[in-house]
Amino acid sequence: MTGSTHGFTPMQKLILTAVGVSITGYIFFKITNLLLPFFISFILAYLLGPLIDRMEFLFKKRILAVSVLYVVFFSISAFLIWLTVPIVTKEIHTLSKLFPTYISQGKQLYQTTTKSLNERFPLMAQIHVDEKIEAKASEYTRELIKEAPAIAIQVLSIFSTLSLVPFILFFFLIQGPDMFKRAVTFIPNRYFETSIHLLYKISTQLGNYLRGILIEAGVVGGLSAGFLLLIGVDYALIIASVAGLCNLIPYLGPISGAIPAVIVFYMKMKTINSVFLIIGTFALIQFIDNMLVQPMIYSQSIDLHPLLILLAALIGGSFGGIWGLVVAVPLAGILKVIVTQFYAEIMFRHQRKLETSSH
Amino acid sequence: MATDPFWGNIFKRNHTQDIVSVLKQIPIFNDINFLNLVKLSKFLHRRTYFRNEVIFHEKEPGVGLYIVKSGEIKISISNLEGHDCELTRLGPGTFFGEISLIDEAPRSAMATALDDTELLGFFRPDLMTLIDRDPRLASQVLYKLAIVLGKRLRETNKELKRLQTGVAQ
Repeated sequence: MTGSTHGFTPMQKLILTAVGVSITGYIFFKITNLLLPFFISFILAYLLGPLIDRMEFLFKKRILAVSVLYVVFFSISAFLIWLTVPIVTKEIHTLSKLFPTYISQGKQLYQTTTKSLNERFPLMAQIHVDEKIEAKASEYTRELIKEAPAIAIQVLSIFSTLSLVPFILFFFLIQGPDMFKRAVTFIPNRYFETSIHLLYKISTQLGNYLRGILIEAGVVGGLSAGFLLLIGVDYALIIASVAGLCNLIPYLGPISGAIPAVIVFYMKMKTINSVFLIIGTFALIQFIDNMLVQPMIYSQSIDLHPLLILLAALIGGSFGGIWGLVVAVPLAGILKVIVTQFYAEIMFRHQRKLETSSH
Repeated sequence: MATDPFWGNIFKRNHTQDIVSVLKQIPIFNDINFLNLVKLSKFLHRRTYFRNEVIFHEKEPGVGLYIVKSGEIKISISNLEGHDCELTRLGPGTFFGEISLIDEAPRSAMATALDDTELLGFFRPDLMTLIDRDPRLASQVLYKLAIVLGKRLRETNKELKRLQTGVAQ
């Protein structure tokens, strides 16, 4: 397996590399939707890799370890579905029945609030703030209804694409390390050790981060479910699941998770204290998350200053919306590893040049 | 790839057997049984170097050890004047760079291919993966590595004592 590239000038190599990267990037951009199950399978294989490595030691053969994992996973999933589907279905059924009531109560609350605000702040009545809000809300609702069939088709298409994930994941789990080893043979000798070192650091950091945020989401979801059930909030399981998933999004996530709980509990209790109770509960959950869970989980992964994390999240959010926010922090961590490594490499080569030229 | 039993040369050794026979010559791996050596061979990276191509420079961050499968390697260090001083030459069945398997300290010497050379690389990330996948085999490798490093340390101490005695006289 040779890595040496002889016969090309540096400029030719640069041009070839640029052309190759551009063509590859263009092809990937065109087939993004088709790559979604491969991307998800790659992430899952990455997360499950260490577990499969340990199971391979137990079962001696990697294919056996992967097969056992699949059997266990599908059995647990079937059991959880059998356990939770009736409860969640009941909650969704109740929610859908009461939804029109919530809508009319919401409208009533809105009308009462705007009336009292218009009386207290006449300027608001003069510039017709309430009419403008109503017009915008109607416009968004109309757009949503118009786009509903397209959204439904897209959701169905995503589900059918995702059904390929277990199949692709199976092969990634079995042959992932071999695929990586094969890919690494194409790296030129000159950059080989640096690349191996870099890939290992990125792999360790990314793996720890991904596992960390999943554990964090689980802890936040569990705490939310516990506290909401204790308070007596309806649909606690659904709201807790949403809060746990939303926690994957930096900064915006915790707020997004609290909003449904505030709305549902306020509709039930109809007092302002209920709003403060829910806000206080989620603030406590976030406090536990930030003070206890995050330091434990992230101490081994992303080594970035909090201000850099905030900057990365802002840049990610402005370029890629919600998905940008989700991937911004791990990408910033990876970028830091790459920059640090390349800086060290450049400094070393520069030092070597100086030493050679001085002699 | 499995050898075709009808048309294929049944006496042709496949790559894994070649690698295993090389590993058996290395002190770190010579006590390990055949099946485990086959397992280990999957962690090795095959690299080829042309004549006078540098494998790594002195003071470069190291990633692991190399085993010479074929060809010849020159190990050298820079003296105070900046000239290369050859320390030793290594042929097939030898290894170098083993300290980098343990730590990230810079390489203590430079390695250059004197001929068209094929090397088998065993790197720190692969050792970490081996520790996860087969802790028993990994601990065997680490134990043998410790013996090799301990032996080298003793030889270095002996040499230092000899030099100190020489200077004192």
